[in-house]
Amino acid sequence: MGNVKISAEKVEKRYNPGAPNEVLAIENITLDIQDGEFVALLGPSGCGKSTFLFMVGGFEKPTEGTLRLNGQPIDGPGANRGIVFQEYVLFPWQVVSKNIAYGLRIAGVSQAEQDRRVAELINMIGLQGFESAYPESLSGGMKQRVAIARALAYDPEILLMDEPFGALDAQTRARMISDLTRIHATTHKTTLFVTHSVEEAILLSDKIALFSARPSRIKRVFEIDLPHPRRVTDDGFVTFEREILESLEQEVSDTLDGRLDSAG
Amino acid sequence: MAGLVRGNRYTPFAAILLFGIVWEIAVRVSGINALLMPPPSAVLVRLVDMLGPGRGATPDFLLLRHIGMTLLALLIGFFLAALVSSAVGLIMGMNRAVYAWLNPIISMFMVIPNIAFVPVIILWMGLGLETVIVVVITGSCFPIIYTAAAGVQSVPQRMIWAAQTAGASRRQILTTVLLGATMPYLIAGHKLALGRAWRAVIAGEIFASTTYGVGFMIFDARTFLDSEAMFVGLIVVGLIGVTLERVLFGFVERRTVEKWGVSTAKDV
Repeated sequence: MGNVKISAEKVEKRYNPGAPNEVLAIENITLDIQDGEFVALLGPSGCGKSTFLFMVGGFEKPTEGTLRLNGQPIDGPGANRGIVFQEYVLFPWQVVSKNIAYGLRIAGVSQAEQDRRVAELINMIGLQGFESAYPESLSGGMKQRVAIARALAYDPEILLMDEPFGALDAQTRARMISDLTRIHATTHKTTLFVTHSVEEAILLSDKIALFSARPSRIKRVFEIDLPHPRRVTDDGFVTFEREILESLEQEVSDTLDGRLDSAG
Repeated sequence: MAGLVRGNRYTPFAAILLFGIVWEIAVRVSGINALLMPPPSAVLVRLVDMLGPGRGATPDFLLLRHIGMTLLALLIGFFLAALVSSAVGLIMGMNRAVYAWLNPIISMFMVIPNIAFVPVIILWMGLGLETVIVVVITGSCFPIIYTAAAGVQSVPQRMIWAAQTAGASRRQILTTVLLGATMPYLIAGHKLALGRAWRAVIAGEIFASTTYGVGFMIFDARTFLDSEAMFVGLIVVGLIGVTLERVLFGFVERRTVEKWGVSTAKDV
């Protein structure tokens, strides 16, 4: 703990640089994420927080500035990171246990070790009995559990989550939040969690990086020093929520103004 | 009975039976020359007769010899087309430049009726089994190439990202992600191609076959004004064609895409 795991320094991202349809998605992001920290990237939709996550994933490259992982510039995706998407993106032709073991097969881990690891993860996500089910037969919440297990299976250093609970109903989301809190407490994985839900961010995170409207900067970083388990009725929760919502509302209205301007 | 009328699993058989009855009555009532339009009862008797031992100059199991030759040409041609076209289609789907250059050519070839290639192929290769096989290949390769390429392009970017993040190399992404994700398209493409191949083999045999083959049989029977044999040929072509498309690929689909719950075009 206490070591900087991910460090962004003056990161800028432009799409189609030099072309007439150039878009400045991210203007300037400087952010340090400590080893083991759970950090929420919060902001209005279209603000570039997913873009930032994908740059940490190595799928996109910054156009300016540097993005480091363990002090090394990020150069492409790799197995030291695990990723979870809003749309689950499981492999539909493989059963649950095969989906979870994907990264282990890629790494050439022995079958016995794969089985042991899959059993452990199935237990952790509470999907006993569904090992040989195909993803299509599972509910959204169950699919997302499998996706989380798949991302954790090969023991990456960092877990990247792109609005993972965005497509789930309220009850399922509440269960997933408490489960993810538990999983983070046992695995201590450095986690980057993109969301536009203030509630999710406060319930889960050690730190919330609030993104401004596009072109994005980090508007403010909130340290959420509340004990777990957290409830939406806690005084501390309510205080943070009010403060963050005020800050966020400003950005949302800026975004809308921007859209109205460009529409007019 | 009401279910049969509205449509259940027995309806297809009943519909074909009814079609046969209407045909039989129409021929008998109209008094049309049976040499031009034989009744289905006579065609069926002839069909059974052709399955059995021969008479005089007619060899034993004549119909089975024709069918066997047709299936041989079909399978060799389809197998070669499937092997090469799948690979070409996958490469097209993965490589932008290859796609950009090959797609216009394939789009053009796809709209040419397969039978239009036959005179050219005969000019190059003469008559015989090899010619029929090449006709089958030209008939079935384009749908496979086209759908395989479309399949690869339909794979969600994020599915590839998920694999890359798990440490998969380019080769591993091909074997562990692209093949599985493209499977519904590959199956749909091969199903379509097999239907095309069946039409192609019959057309090819009509022009290029000299000994056996159902297409040859139909064309040859015309020479002797043997309309019963011609209709036997048409019925055989219909029955085997439906079996190949529905039964064979129905089986493959149940074992793969239906089990995975992945939607695919059911009746191409």
